[in-house]
Amino acid sequence: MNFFKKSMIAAGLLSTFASSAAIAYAAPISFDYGTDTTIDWSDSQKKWESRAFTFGSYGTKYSRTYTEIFADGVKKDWKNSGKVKGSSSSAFAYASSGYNEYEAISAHRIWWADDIEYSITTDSRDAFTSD
Amino acid sequence: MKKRTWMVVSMFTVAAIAGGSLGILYGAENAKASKMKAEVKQEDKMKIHRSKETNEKIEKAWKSAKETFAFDDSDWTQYDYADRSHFTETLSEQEKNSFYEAMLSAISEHQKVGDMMPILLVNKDKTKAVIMFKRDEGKGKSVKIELTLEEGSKSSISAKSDKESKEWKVDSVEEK
Repeated sequence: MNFFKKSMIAAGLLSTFASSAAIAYAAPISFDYGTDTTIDWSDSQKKWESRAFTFGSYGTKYSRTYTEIFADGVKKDWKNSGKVKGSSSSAFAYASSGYNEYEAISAHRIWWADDIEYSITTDSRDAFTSD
Repeated sequence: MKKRTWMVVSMFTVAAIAGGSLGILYGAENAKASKMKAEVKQEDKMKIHRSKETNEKIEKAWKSAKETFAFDDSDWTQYDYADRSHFTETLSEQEKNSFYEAMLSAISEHQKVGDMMPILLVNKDKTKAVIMFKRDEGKGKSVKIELTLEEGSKSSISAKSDKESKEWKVDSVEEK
């Protein structure tokens, strides 16, 4: 076997090993665009609404969204979507109008298998202040 | 001639009504937009997006909660609950997962409407975390939730690397 063939085989083996190692130590899924929290006015509820969405990439088996809303530093509401089947989930929490400042904090989790160790978590926030 | 005048008057009337409606719509949009949306960056401390009054109210509640439990925070790193990701981003993915799991299970079980924004305190070696807040907009009781990083059971992932996994657990919850 000449030197070129040996080098090609070595490179192939190294690449296979590196890919396997990366798969073993990194999550095979990620949060997709749109995983976020925004505070917006809800026309139906006539309240400020924390809108939290979680979107997982291909391979996501379960998803969960947990959001909390505060007005002037005081907790007004919270919602937990629970662990739902599928790659997306959402949660909406509400606060009455009339306060100066609103802030929402959310935790997003996605799973690629049943147990917690096969999941990843992230956080998102939003804030809204009166003029 | 009369017909022409009538046409001109009608056109002005339609224009006036349309203009007025547009003005009302614009005004309504402006009223709705009178709330200023802050762009909250990941690295921001949430206090920069609050008023001085709200920050003072929150800090007063934190001080009161610490005094209630005679908590000496000199060796602890303090995080605003809204900035908790500044702490969790320093953890491994597995520790981060278990931290959120423990924290949110305790918070969801013990939180009430009217609770003040909590404070998160973490010890130097990141093996203990304490969450404290005041009830009733800062005028009520204080709540202290203690979380501890403990040796967990061997998971399938850690078994592969022959390492013992560590998990955050709720140690205690106290209200007084």
